[in-house]
Amino acid sequence: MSPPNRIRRHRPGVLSAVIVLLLVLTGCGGGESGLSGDTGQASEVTGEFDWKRFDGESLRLVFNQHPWQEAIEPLLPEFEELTGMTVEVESLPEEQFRQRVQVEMTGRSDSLDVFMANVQNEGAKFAANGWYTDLRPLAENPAVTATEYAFDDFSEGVIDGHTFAETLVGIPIQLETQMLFYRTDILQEAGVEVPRTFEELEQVAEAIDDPDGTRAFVSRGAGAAAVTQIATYLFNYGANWTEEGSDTAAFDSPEGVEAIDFYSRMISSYGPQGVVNMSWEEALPLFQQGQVAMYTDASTFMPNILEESTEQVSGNVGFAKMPAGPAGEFQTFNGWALGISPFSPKQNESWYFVQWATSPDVVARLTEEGIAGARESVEFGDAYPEDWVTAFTESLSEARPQLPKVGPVPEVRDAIGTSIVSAIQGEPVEPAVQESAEQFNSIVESAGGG
Amino acid sequence: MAIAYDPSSAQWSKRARTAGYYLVVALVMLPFLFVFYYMISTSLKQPLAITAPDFQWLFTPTLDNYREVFVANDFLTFTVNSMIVAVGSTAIGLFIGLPAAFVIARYRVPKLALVILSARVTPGITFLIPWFIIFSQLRLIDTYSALIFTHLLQNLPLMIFLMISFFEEIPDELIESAKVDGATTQRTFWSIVLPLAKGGIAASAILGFVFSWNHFMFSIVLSGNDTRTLPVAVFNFMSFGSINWGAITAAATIMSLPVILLTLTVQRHIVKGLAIGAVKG
Amino acid sequence: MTATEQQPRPGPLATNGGPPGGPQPARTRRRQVSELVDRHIVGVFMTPAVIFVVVMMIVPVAFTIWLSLHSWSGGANSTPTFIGLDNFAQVLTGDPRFWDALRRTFYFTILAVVVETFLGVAIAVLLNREFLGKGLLRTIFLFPMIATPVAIALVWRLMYEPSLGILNDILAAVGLPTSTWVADQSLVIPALALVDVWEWTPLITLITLAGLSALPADPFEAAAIDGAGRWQTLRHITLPMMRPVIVVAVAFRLIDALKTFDIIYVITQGGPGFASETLNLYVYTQSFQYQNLGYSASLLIVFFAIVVGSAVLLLRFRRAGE
Repeated sequence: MSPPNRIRRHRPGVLSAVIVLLLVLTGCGGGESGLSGDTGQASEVTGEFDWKRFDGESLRLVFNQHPWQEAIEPLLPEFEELTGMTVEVESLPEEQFRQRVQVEMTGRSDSLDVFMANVQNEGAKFAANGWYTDLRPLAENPAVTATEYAFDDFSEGVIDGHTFAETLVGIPIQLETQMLFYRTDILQEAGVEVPRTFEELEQVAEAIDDPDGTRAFVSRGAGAAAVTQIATYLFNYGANWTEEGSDTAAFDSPEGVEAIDFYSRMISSYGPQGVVNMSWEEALPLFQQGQVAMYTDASTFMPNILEESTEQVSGNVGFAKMPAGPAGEFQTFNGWALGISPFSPKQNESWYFVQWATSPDVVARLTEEGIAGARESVEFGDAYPEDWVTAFTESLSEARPQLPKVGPVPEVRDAIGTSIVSAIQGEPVEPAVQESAEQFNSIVESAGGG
Repeated sequence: MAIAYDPSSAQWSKRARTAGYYLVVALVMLPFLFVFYYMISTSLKQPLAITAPDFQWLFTPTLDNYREVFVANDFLTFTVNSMIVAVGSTAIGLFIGLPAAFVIARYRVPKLALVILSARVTPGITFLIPWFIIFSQLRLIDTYSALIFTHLLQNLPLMIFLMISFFEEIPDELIESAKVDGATTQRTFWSIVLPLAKGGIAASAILGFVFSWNHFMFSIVLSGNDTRTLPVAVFNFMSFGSINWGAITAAATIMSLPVILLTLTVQRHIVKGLAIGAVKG
Repeated sequence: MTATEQQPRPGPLATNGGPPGGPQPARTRRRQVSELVDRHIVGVFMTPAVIFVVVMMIVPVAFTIWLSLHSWSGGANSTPTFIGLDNFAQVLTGDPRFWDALRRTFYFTILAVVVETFLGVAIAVLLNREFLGKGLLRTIFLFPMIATPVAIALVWRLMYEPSLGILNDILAAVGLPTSTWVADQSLVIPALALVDVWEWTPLITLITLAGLSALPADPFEAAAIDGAGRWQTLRHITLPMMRPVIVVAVAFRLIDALKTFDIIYVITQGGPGFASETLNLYVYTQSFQYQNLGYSASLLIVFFAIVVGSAVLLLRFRRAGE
């Protein structure tokens, strides 16, 4: 009885056939760019605009857990009633959200229709990979766009910021600047004024810090998440992400090192423990619960602070622009948009959702909820704290993008983040920052090929 | 007063030593049990009790977290998904693994066993990425088959190895005598060997089920909206603003309970399998 | 006993049929087929499993090798570009993050497995006697290994929380300074290793216990007669005899520990910074966060080589020890 040998001899043949077949299949798949066939749908639709055109269809939306998402979810039944479509929403915490979308894009999932996009972060990469549907043809097609949509209401600058190589990758749903949130009662008690410069910020922090009670200051410390926050500090110290006109790292300049040193000093000396693991999900509740007195983060958290904090906090919170640094006062902005997956077989249906969510009516209502949209015509109502409106509008008018304009942003965020983490943990700042800069350069270089 | 040999004091010190021994044993068990206690108690606490600065030993229990897990989220669907994948991969694993284990045990074909062993040794991620790319080209992402087959690849070696130990326990004479009576090896396998190794098969099946149920890495990437399994779903509770620890621990309890209960039913055989495996090396 | 009963009784599977070619042709054909199957029983029984494993293994490995020679970002309009061995050159010479991840992987693995082994064997020795509730204990000991790792990791994550978790409460209660545990770059790997130790020490214990109970009684009796104390018996008789069993358990555990993913991903995601990023996580990040698919393929091959290499080394070590 020695059948094994016979079997073994036959197997290689079958196996190699299978292998070759699979390799061929995947090799073909990789080169396929005929997916543009899907977006061809966009221009196929003609006729009168009708909200109920796609009655009975369903959409799958993947959202990042975010104030905007929280505000729009209660309104979704209205969309369903208006169009007759059903929507299925999946909202995930930021990191899982990002990975989810990337995995589905790499897997060319046809079950993803609309997703939130943080264009400053992944826009360049997604666009290079062809992972956005061009929304311009959709917006310009009167058969699928209501006349009231008023596409021109979005400022040219903002639309430009969302355009990569002629493709309009998303419609902005929300803009945010970086802001300083502070407890008016605590500052008053200590007899100090709202800090207008970084120097003052540190002085105030020292005056109000209570190691056994309310700490003075918190901001994100979790590596990549902190990179957006640190931008304003960098700029106000006179540093830049990259050299003018090139992709070479410039944040390891003496000014940049100073900025990072200051930032990490502030959060490690005047803040709670464990800050290296904190993104906004962890830092925001601390402010809301009254455990820290000052917090710098995105302006978009204002409604959360006002509505979800303890009474003492929500009754005594002030909003201010980011303090100025030795090199001046620069403000930064970021924002989210809605994008449509090119692999979705429901291009027009998805556009209906994007359109509805960014329509003047919905944006106005979201603005009432405290979400600052991107439409120029919408004004802030009386419910908005005056100091917030002032801080926001003034910042926005002169704001610079928070993130560096390179291709592999997520990867460089990780690289820059390590220096922040090292600095917080007390390691020498300059060598850490220089190493980050080196990594930054090598990442950008090797990604250059696409 | 001279103290004569006092049997009662000798007994007492022996009892003391025994009590001391039990105490040590209890101390050793404590850390292992504590984590489970922590998980279950947190899942029964209200949010304020969880976020209180001091650990609350006494608290008013609530089923709110469990309600939230099942009602507010699709947890039942995820449980069903986990079930389908686990049962699927275990069933197929038994179907193709038991015969293989049998011949390895009886006919000593170690080389082929080595092939199967290498599947066990290889890091899962080595398979995950190519399979992810291949499955996505073939549009098999978010399907049960993709999950079942990849889970199977990780489970099969384990199940086969466990079964080999049990099959080797079956005395040769039993099989030889059946052959003498003219039965084919096949029939022997089905009618004699399998019933005799029932316990081992059950253990192996349950372990296969457990490892598939627990599997995380493949599921994050290969499952999608329709097929999401429990370990992946639990991340939905890391919500905005603060992590919902009550819901997470409730979900964790729900996830772990079935496999623990299942294991209880065959624990004797599992331990035996480990024993045989270890002794035989 | 009558004459008829002198015949050997038919065994359990004896068939009733007469000689082949008898009055039942269908059954004969079936019988011939089953005899054919029987002759090739090894092949028939082995083949499905082997084919499955080989295909499910060979295909990914072949694909990975192919991919590692290319650069690809998985995009819809990008194709893999052939770049030869550049990826490997990058891994080995231009990627400090890789070497750091490698270092951390070994640090975590060795730390966890060493502690598990010592604890596991010690506990097994301790429990190696008959006592009330031993069976129950053995059952309870299965739980940490069986419970879903993701669930366990989440609970530990809560336990490690500086303000909410119980571990800091315990430290404070005994007057020790609190720690940030997994938020501390220098503590994070030991903290994660602790979770692994909690999870897998029972495995070592159970296997050792099983081995201990299979030991022959004679050497121990002889030792007792010679007046050997407990420690001496342990050191010179028990442990040496247990060596093969323990080594096997450790070997398996070591290989598995190298591949740890769930705990790290759930508790720290490789952070803070990269302080807990092991090779497994690094490859995952490169593939699913950065989409550097060609590069991650080459990392995979290196990782694979390391794990398999360790396995082979361990096998050799075990052979040498016998």
